[in-house]
Amino acid sequence: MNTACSEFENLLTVFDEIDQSERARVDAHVARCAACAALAQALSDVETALRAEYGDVCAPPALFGRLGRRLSRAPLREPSALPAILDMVGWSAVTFAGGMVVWFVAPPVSSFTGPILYATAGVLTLTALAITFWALRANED
Amino acid sequence: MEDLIRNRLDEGKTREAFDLLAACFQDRIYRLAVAIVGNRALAEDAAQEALLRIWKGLPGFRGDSSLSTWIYSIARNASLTALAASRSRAASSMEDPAVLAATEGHRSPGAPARAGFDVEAMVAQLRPQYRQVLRLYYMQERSYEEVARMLDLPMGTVKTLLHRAKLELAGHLMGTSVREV
Repeated sequence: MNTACSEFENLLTVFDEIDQSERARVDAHVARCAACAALAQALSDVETALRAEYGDVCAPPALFGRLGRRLSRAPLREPSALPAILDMVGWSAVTFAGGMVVWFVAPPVSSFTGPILYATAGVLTLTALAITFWALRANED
Repeated sequence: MEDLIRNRLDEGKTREAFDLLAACFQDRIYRLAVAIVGNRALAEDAAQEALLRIWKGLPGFRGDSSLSTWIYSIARNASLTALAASRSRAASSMEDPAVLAATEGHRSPGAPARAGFDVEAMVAQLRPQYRQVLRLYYMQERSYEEVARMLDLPMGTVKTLLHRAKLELAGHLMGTSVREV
């Protein structure tokens, strides 16, 4: 194998993927170069053997059955409630901050608006709580 | 299929999600294990361990990466752990060649022969990256893209490794070194 053949050596390893004109060029070279002809034959033998050795490897049918027994001994970790609790705290803080902004921008002008603001904040907080508990229950199912 | 599995997870139906996942990915997990450890019995244990880790980790899967990327990463780690454990056992058995053959898939290659040559014995002699890429490429219907995804390698690297591995095998078959790589 001399250095002039290195281009064909590269093409021979991907012979299945090259186009017709390149194949013709490789074939013409292989026909007059004994070293490349030997390499082409060896690569072809290797290709055939590799396809036969690895072409139909699949997971054994017993794999999942044996796994099932191990799964029954490995109960799932319940997802942590922490993200839901942090969500609740976050939304409550947002609600509170919103209420404070409204309070400072438009303070209650009468004894009637104060209770409305408190009631709105309360409803929003209860909604956040309800969403949190719903999320927690959904995780448990 | 990944979307369906994610939907089941979002609905909190972890067992259903896992059953779908196992049906969809168990062949690929097993093949990845075979590619890394070389020995099919050992690969079966590694694949089982990977599926068990996936089962345990599934409720906490947040979708930061794609599901297949997460699965392949677990499968690679489980296979590498199995390979390291088998090597450790082999080392503690005074490097007994019989133990090595059983755990790593190494076989005495003998003289290369045209007819009926033992290709797995030849592959087992290659460097780890070559043999992983080579085995997986032929197991995964010769898809560069899938091999790249499963081994977390750039596609160009997969092509290069495959090219060099084939040349090395051909050189071994001819009893010569085709080219220094």
